[in-house]
Amino acid sequence: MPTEPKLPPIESAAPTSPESGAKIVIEQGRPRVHVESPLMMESLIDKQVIDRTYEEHEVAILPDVHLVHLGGQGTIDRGAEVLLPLIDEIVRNRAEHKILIGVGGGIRERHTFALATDLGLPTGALAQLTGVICKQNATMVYYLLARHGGVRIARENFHKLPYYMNAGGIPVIVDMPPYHFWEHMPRVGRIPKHRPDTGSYLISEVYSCRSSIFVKDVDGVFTEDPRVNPRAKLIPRVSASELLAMNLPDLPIERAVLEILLLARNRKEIRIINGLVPGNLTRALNGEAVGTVICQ
Amino acid sequence: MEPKKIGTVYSGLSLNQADTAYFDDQGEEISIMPSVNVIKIGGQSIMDRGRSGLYPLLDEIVANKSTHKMILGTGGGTRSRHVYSVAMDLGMPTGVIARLGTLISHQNAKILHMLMCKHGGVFVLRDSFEHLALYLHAGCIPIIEGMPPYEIYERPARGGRIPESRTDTGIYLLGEVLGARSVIFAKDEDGLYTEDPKKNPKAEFIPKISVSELIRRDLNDLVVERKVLELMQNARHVRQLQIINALKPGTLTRALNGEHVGTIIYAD
Amino acid sequence: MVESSKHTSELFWEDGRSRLHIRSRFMMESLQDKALIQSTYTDKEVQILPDTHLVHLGGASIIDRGRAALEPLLEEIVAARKRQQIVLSVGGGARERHTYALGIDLGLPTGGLATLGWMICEQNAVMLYHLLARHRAIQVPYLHFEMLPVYLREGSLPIVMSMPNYFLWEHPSRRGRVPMHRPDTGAMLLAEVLTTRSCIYVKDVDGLYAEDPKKNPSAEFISRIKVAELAERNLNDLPIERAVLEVLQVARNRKEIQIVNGLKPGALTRALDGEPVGTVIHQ
Repeated sequence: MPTEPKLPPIESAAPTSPESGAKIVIEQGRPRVHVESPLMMESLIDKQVIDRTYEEHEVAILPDVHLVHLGGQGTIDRGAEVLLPLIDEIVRNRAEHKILIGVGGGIRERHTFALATDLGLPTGALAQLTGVICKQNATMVYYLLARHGGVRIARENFHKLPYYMNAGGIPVIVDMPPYHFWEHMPRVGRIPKHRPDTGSYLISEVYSCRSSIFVKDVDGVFTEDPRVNPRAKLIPRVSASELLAMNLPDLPIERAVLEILLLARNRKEIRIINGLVPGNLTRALNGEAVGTVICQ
Repeated sequence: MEPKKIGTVYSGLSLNQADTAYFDDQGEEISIMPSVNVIKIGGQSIMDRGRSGLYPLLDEIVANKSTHKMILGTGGGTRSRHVYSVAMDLGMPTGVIARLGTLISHQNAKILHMLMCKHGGVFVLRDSFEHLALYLHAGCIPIIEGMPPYEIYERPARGGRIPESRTDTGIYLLGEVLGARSVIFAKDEDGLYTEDPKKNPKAEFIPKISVSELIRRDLNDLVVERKVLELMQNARHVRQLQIINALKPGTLTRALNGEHVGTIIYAD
Repeated sequence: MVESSKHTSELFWEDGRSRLHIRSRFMMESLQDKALIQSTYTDKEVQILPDTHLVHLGGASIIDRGRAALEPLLEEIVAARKRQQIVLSVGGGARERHTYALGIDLGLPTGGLATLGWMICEQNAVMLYHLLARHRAIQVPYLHFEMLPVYLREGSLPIVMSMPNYFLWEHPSRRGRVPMHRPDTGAMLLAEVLTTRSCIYVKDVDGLYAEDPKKNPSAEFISRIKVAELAERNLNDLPIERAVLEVLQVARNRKEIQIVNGLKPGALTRALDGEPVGTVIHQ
């Protein structure tokens, strides 16, 4: 596989845009019309071509923004008792940190999955039904934040995030990713594998966020289920591959997050913290050791 | 016919006068879809039962497709109740709670749509209601979300914060504005009882009752939203509705055929 | 660490897999039970936009008067916006009335009329936006209300159209077919839900009189009145919609509204500064 493609003799047409130097190229003998680019005449399935694109520089899009995911079941479903102190903590931190809030689904999401599974709906259908639960949660969090500059942003408006951040807003987004009909079939069962944790993590990866913090109702990842074995130990730091190899029966975060983390370019670690403990979020935003860090 | 002129005829006429004689009914109000039946599929009563409650009912709806035009509307159910309780705990006002409730009936309508696709079920958003006639003409069964669109414009209730206009109200009003042939609420009780029969099995069944009588009785609990009763008093088209037990096979079919099978509430 | 027992998340099938529930205080309830409804009352609703004034410009009374009435009024609003957070709301007016009269003549139902009246309000919002664009106005459609806090923070002047979204679901009235929830009501409901600092109706009258001042020039001016008392007086005409009074009677947050004369220079500014001008109607 030559790195410089050996081109057959070509006839060049005039550059379409002189600045970029993009050229229309007409292959001789084989009447195909090309546009000159490093990938011209390459198969995009070729492994080496694919590998060549790996090292390329990726732009950091929102590198100073913390992405904070509020778990549905762990924080929002617990109501005022848990959510109001968390909202206060977010507002207290906004002077120092740029914060983007994403919300999960929770128990109504699970109810929907249970009901839809009973009704015989496929995974791609299930994946379309629970976005509205995150929407409900995002709406509630937005109203709690409104007087502090909360703003609820739909996916179509993500490109306006910098504006809302600069205008002093605290954006609230829905974390359920829009896999919809196109959700991948899981190996077992019918529950969509890309759920709000995954959506949140993917946004932090794409936007090269400063951190990806998952606020849940557990201290982090334990060696065993702490409810079953009280002597189970909290794991302060673990790699995604180790964690996957441990094959724990339950995890406080979706498995798809770990799978994607293995391949991350930008956001190479995430943190799970206990939102029931006041001050944890502040410490996590300041980069202090709290909860469990899962790294690449 | 004289063209209507602003200025010469209406100008200065307040819409807030106690006596808006000029705007009173003139002639008959039209029925937009006089042959359609609007059916509510209860949330907690039907949808939350999953396969066992819903499948037989949908089969019955499909069996009636060739004889009756139907629009299906969905309720919320236990997920609405959960989100109401979380939102109230967080101090949300009625308007926000109504906004949250809308999403669950939307979700149930999507579920129903996927189950009914193969029989011509179409999910119709509120903005596309102008397509209803086309869908019905093509032999489809339009499926709509039951909540009315008031959302943050929902009026605060006198007592608590539960929105007074929920899916019963939304579906009843749709039937009324379309001038529908009938409005049927498919629930899991035979109809209206003096008390909640799930809580008190000795509650007495009421087969037929007038709106004014029902309001006068001031029952502590009801199988239908109180707002519907209030609205029925001013109804122009749908002067009665029937609440049926859709878990009993054949009941919906008989109700569609005009039989009295549950509780009929009528405006007097 | 919070030990939360109140909100344990739990799913379960009722006896014999009949219904699938989520445990919550409303589980298996009809939501019609009176004691249950009463238990949801609170006077501690969340404060959403407590620093923002809602200023509603009447359609027939202000906007339809065109430049003569609007120009000085908008100048006043722009000046006030530099000191205060304002959401501007607009009504319908003469074209709205025309639409209703024509629709009734054609036999359209109330819900149809409400859907049509909405568009007139939208027209007025568009006009106002273009008049105020150079002063950082932004027209905010209903779906974008959740952007309001950020627009207010960064100094914009949001314009909303206040015909509430009742559409086909508008309640039939006892008498006649004119929709009962029109722009004044929409503005009231918005002020109530968003817990705004004020709700000011800018109209072309000083406020309420005991009688029609056009018929009896010595009619007594009412500067402050309880909404229940006003409803009892059963005046033949009112400068605001009757549904506003109904909503005001059960309001939790916005417990008073003010009617000011937008044709009198300075009246709105004084109202925004908290001075009593015009008529205050309170709970």
